[in-house]
Amino acid sequence: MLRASSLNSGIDLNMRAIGDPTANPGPADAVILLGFAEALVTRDDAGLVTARTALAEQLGPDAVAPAAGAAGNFEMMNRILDATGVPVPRSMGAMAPELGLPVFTGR
Amino acid sequence: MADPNDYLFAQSEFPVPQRIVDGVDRARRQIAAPGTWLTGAERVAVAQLARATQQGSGSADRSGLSAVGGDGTVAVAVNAHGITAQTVDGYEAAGLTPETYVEIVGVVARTIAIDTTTRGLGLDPVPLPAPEEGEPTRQRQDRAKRRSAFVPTVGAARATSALSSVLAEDVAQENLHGALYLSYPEMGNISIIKGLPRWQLELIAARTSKINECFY
Repeated sequence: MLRASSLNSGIDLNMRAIGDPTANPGPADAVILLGFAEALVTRDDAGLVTARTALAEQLGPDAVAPAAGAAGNFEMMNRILDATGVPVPRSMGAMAPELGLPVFTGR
Repeated sequence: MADPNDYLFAQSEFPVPQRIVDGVDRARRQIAAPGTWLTGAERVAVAQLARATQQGSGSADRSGLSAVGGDGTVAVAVNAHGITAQTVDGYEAAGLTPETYVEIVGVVARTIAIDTTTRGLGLDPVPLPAPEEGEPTRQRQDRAKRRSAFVPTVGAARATSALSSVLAEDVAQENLHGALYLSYPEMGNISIIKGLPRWQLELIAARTSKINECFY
C-alpha cells in the first residue's frame, strides 16, 4: 500500500529506507517522519524532543498529532497481530529485500 | 473539575484533532469498564501492568491478576514478537482461556497505543479512570474457532478479525484504529489525507512495524 500511495502522490520513495536506517528515503519529509517514528517507538526521549521539533518545523504543527497517532495505532496492531498469531502470507516475504528487511518465510 | 482526558490534551503544544481526543477518551473508559471475561478492576490492572512494563519497570505491580494473566500481559506489552502458538497453549494449560487471553491482548495493545500517541505529543500518559463495578458479560462468540492463528477467530484470521472471539475487543480495536489512523473503510482510499497524506501515514506505520519486527 505504501508503494501505491506514494506513487499516487507523485512521491519517489526509496522503499529500502523502511528497514534500513542508513538508506536515504528520498523526500525530506520522509527523513523527518522516519526519524520521528524511530525516536518515538524506540523510546529515545532525547531524540524524540529533537524529532518532534523537526517534524513541527518541516511539516507544520498540525502534523504532530496525526504522526503520533499513526505510530500509536501500529504499536497496537503489531501487538495484536503478533500476540494472536495472525498468519502473514508467504508471498509478502518476497517484499522483504526491497524494504531492507531480513528474509521472511511466513508464519 | 475538568475531565482528565480533555485537560491532558489541552496541555498539548500542538493541535490535536477531536477524533484523537475522543478516541483516546473512549478507549480509556472502555478499558476501565467490565469486559467480557475480566472485571473493570482486572482490566485496569492489566493496563497499569502493561504501562509500567513498557516504561521499563521490571518489578511492576501484578496485584489483582493471576500469575498467568500477569505473564501474558507482560509478554504482549514488551515481547509480542516472541509469542508463539506454544506460548498461548501454555497459558491455556495454566488456566488462562484463549478468550481471556484475547481480552488481555486488546487491553494491552490499546493502552500502549494511547500512551504512544500522548508521548509523541510530549504529554504525560492519560490517567486511567477508576474501575467500574459490575460483572463481565461472558458473551461467547459461538462461531469462533481456532483456524490458522494462535487464538479462535470468527472467520478467517486476519488483521481485522484477530480479536473477533471477543466482540467487545474487536469493536474497540476498530474504533481506536479509526480515531488514531484510518477507519477500516478509509483503508481502501490511497488518496486520503487525514492530517497527513496517506503515504506519510503509511511511512510511519511501516517504520513502527519494522522496529517491532512485525512483518504484517
